[in-house]
Amino acid sequence: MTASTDSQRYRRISLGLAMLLVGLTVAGLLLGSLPLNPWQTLLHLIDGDPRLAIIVLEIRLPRVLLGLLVGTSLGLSGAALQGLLRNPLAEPGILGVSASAGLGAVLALYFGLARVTVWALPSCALLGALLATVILALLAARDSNPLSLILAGVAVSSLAIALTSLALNLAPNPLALSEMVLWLLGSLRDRGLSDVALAIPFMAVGWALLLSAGRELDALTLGEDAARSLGVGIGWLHARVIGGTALTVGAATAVTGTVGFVGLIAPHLLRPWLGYQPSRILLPAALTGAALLAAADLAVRLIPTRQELMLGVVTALLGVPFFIHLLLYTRRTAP
Amino acid sequence: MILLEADQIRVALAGRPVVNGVGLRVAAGQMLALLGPNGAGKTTLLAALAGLRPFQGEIRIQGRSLARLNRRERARALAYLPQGQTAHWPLTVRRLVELGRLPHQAPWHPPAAADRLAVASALERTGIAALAERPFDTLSGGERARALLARVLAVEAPLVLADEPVASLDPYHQLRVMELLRDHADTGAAVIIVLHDLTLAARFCDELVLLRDGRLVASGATESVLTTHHLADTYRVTALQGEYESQRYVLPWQRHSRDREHPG
Repeated sequence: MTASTDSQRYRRISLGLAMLLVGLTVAGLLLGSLPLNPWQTLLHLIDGDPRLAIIVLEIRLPRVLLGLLVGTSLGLSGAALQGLLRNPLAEPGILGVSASAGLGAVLALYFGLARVTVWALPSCALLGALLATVILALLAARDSNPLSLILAGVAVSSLAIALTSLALNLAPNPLALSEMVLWLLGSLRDRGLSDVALAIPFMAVGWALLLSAGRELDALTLGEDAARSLGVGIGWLHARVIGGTALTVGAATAVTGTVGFVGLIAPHLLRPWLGYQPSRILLPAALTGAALLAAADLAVRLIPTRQELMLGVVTALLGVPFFIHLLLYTRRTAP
Repeated sequence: MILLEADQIRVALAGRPVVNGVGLRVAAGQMLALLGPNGAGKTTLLAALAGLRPFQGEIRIQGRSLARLNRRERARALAYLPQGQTAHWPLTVRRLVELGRLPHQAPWHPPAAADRLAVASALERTGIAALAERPFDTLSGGERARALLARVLAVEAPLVLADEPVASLDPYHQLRVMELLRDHADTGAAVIIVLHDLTLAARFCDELVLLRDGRLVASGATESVLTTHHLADTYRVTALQGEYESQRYVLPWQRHSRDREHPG
């Protein structure tokens, strides 16, 4: 394996993933819980059948788009965080951003704000994510040691989970309780293009911040002092990765609820093929995250269950065995 | 030409003075050893010289104040090898060495011809070109040391600061690493190296700087620095000294029996 075949492989894998995403998008638009023949659907759609247009464009399109956006965000921020913390077990949830966004959403439901306007729930969730980031920045500002950041994240996350439990505990009635619990489980069901419009600006800024960090994350492989000696501004790098994660994962949680493990898994699926250099994992991990979420959502819609499975449940069920395998494997190879 | 000049350097860590008024200078083609017992402040001084610790005093690199250089200028002016350097991800050797080109690369640009050349040359000089595609974690200790040194050489900085680069290496690789750094100095660079092996310091370095408790005890040529008195005063040992083929060796032999009370 020489340098040139190395980058060929990178391009080939990225291209393959992009093609997979196109396939999953088309499948997501044509397949669903309504037993429609995909081929007929396509033909009717071209003919301009209004009922099908509603199903495909107003129900399935936002769902598919959100799946891609959220998956991209989780995969990208997972890869960037693993690079920043130099820890293969890091994932977006570790900073407590998603738990805090979840808390914001639960509070919006608890106080009935969510019934006032469709923007209330995602806005409260974003506010939660923002607040978590500020607390995180204050807690971790003293030093940029990865361990301090992880501990600060654990503290923020635990607080958000405790407050969320409190809200559930004090739920005014069983209906509100089930509403909050179901929302926390994560789903792409019944989302509209307004959710897409809300999430996109935050995500786009976050993606740009995360993607810009690649080479500096590479330098962190040598540790903080050596990276600084190579001209990396550690504080600025932390700000970009944490800020980028807060924006992308905050927005993702605001529109879908908590979806775990995609950010953890995506980088690991790629390392056997692309090596360990953080900058070479970022973009493919984003594509992999999008593909994983699109596939999981397709599975949720196609698996016939009494009630539609929640997306967060499916990704966690797939993710936990992988996580355990990872724990065992990293212990075996640790020096 | 003086490449680095430091005056009255003071560094405090967590409010405790660790380096206290040390000055030194190193010219192109010179290799300078920072010596002293554990806790003397060598590592902290070296990190301050690399611009990585807040300090009081004045450090000039090629005549320009270190404080005035921006991150990128500083990164091109000096290459720094931290103590116990390792790689957190098992990159291939080539990817690892390429990191040394970071100060020269514009963001979002693939490596230029000059970068590839510098990487190839660093791999060649350290004798690890054949290992270029091997993941770092599959290398032996000696190979790792050479790969990390190749990363430092790939920066092509006029100044190299290396913190104990021969620690935990076998005698063959200790000599090999010292020869590589000496060769680098002979091509016109300046090398500052933290060492515990006094013989290696005496043989390979032009100038020795001996520290104790953050203060300068002596600096200059081997004969004036590694005296019986200084060795007793700083390291608290008596050493066998002699010459072989007109090169000096210093073998710490006997520990002084009474432990000196350590201040602080």
